[in-house]
Amino acid sequence: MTATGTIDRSPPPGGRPRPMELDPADRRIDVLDDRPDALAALAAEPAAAAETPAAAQPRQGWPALGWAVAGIAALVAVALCFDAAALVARAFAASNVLGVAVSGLLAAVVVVVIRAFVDELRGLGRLRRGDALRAEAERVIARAGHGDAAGVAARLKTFLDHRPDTAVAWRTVDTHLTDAHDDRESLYLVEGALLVPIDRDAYGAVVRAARDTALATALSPSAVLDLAIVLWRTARMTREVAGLYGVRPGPVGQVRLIRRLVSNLAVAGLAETAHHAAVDALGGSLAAAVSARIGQGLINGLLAARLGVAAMHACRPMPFGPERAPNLLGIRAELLRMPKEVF
Amino acid sequence: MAVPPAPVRPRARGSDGAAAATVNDAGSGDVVPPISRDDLRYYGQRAAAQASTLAARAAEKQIRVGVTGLQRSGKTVFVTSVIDNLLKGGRLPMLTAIAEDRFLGAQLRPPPAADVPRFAYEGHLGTLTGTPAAWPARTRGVNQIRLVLKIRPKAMMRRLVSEARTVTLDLVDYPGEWLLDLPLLDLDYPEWSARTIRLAAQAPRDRLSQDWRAWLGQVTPDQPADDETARQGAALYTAYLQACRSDDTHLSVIQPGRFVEPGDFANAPLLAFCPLAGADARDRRGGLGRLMADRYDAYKASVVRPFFIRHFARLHRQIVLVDLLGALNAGAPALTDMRAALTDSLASFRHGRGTWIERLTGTRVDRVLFAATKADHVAATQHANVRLTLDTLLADARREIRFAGAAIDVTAVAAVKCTRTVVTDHDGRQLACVEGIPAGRTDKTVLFTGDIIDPSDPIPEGIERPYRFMNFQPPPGLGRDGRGLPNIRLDQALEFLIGDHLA
Ligand SMILES: Nc1nc2c(ncn2[C@@H]2O[C@H](COP(=O)(O)OP(=O)(O)OP(=O)(O)O)[C@@H](O)[C@H]2O)c(=O)[nH]1
Ligand SMILES: [Mg+2]
Repeated sequence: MTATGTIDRSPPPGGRPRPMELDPADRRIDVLDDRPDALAALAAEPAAAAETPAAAQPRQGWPALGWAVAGIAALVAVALCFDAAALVARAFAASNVLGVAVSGLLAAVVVVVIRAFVDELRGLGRLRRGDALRAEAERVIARAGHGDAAGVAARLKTFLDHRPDTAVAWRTVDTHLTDAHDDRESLYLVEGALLVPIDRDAYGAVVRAARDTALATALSPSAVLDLAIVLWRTARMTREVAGLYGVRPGPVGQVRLIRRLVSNLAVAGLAETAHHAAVDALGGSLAAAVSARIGQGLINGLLAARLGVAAMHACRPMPFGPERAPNLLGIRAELLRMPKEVF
Repeated sequence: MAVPPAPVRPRARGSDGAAAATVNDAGSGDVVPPISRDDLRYYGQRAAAQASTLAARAAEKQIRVGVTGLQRSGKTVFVTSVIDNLLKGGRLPMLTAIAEDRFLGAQLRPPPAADVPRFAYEGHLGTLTGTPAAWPARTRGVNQIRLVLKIRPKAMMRRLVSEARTVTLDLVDYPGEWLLDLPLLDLDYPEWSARTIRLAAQAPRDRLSQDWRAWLGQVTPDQPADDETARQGAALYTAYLQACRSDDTHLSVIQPGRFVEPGDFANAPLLAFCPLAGADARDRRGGLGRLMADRYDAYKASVVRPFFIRHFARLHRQIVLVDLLGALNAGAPALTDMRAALTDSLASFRHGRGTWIERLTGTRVDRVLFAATKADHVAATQHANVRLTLDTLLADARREIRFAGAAIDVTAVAAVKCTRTVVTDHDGRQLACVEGIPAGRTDKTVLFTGDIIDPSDPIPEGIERPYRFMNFQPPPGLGRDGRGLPNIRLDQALEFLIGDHLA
């Protein structure tokens, strides 16, 4: 299947082919169809293992500090092993029963640790896979050629295997796709059927978190408690949003994700000083009229909302199509209505 | 909007009405009784009800969309497919209201103006989906049709129940030749004559206008006015215009439009004029030049202006269908001519010129979509380049109205998709071709049409006939699945044209 370059200005090698009529029976003719068999199959059977490994990311070399930390970690691990072995030996020396119990306990601990480790790795892997998929989708959409959408769709299918109800959505995509759609249009349709419903849920989660945060911090008596509330609630929200999109980061992954969100805020120019946010939210003169507590609550709510929207951007396995990105206006309006209801 | 009648004041009731009753008992019927709490509540409810009907009326939007394009550009097929797809709703996945599941359905309604023929949707659809499937016949003049669309508005977060809203959509199909008449409003007869004669002397028009120009050489504006001579000139001029429109020349600048698309004016004496060499505003009374100039002015006053007022000035949105592939088939001169015609037509969408009509009516077209039609004549891989080619043709004119005019977009559509794209191996090279039944045949063929390689120069010099686009038959069994006619990008075209009204 060819993807004729859209703005390829150079004449094709071997000169410009002349217009001609061909015999439909005579030649090997492929149907150029953006719903290639891969996608049709996706619609039919629930699980397809058409996953292509994430594009190999160039690994950055470890800095010296990294090596040092790794070395220390290794030493600690070795020490722990010696200690454990010594412990087991001591237990057996005391009594066989105690020895068996301790080694059983140790085995359980090891299993749990390994499980956690594997989960973490898997979560990180999904996070990375989502990033790779988004990057690939961005590339395909920008090129707007033909024939590459199916690969992205297949990867998305695997990525979303945690969703129970995708078969119907894939069938919808399948009915609407024709050979005339280019990759951008095809992926727009895929996105509309598969991701937009998730967006709706995720947006709901963000709104809820923003409201909770605003309310709780408005009512909380101390700044320390404020901070705790914000941290806890945004962490929960992030986990929720990530889970909806099929990213399930463990603790490390979550820290990484939140760090990315915060830096996204800065990069996207979303970060605002508290003052700006308050003026933004309330309109200058009104801000003065509202008590500082409520203002603080609103600011925290808006911050949570921003983080939530950033989380949606960071976890969504495809970029938002035109007009589909969530906006803060709705949340803002929602938060502004709150003081009236609560007080 | 009619002022709602003043509310009838209810009779005061209950304990609160006691005071009022006393006043009334005193027998002074004219005295306004003090307002009771019930009254207040009544007025409050009344006002709220009025406000909500007003809001509902405002919410009941009405949009008029003009569909135009030169002859055979695909207006009738386009309107038919748009109606069919809106009625059935199954093939417009990228119309946001449908994608968001807020589109509740559409219905045909009787058209508003009794003196404008109704667009014969049922007939055209019958022709397209009949056996054998055929294309609709040519249209004369303006047709219009009305649909109502039922929409659930985008739910605001708090508005739990958002009530369904209706949008009235009028589609007006009128010849693009008439749109090209509008620039005449700004030209007087001598200017127009000079311009037209200059154009007629250029290749490839010189060949087509030979007879008429020979006639021009024999007459002068000063010779005595004579209806027979005027008719003769008009007939030759019309023949020249018709020749310009033929498939193999495919020229677009055709003025005045009624000479080729007369509508109700067939054989009217009004049309018995043509440009004259050496015409001058000071031509003497009783001369041929004056006769022609008078008729030209009458044409503007009783044909162009009424069209402007009755139809064009009432449009909110406009789609201009362009048979770009036909022009590419015909060659470079057709393309150059098309650029001129598009530029001319764009001038009508420039705002703020302070023309009398703009002040008079207040409405103006605020979105214009230029669409290359019959995109199914080329392989899907070529659609982007077809669009870019049209975009390039419009580029200069667009720049001019960017800051003071309608929003403009360009696309490539097929109202009825008659082919599919296939890839063939040919001499070790892969070619994207279209497969379908060519017009006038019964069997499928596979056609490589030639690729547009550089959209800014689609017909490079030295390459003879780089393209061969063919007309196709509507596929058999069209519309049988009840989802609406298969199409290419109608949803995106509609999104641009009316999407904001469906939000
Ligand atoms: N393949 C294909 N052909 C089309 C399409 N639309 C129009 N055509 C062709 O173009 C011809 C003219 O289409 P019409 O819709 O009748 O054009 P029109 O602009 O209404 O023409 P007039 O009424 O004569 O001005 C048809 O007979 C078809 O051959 C399309 O979507 N696909
Ligand atoms: Mg027609």
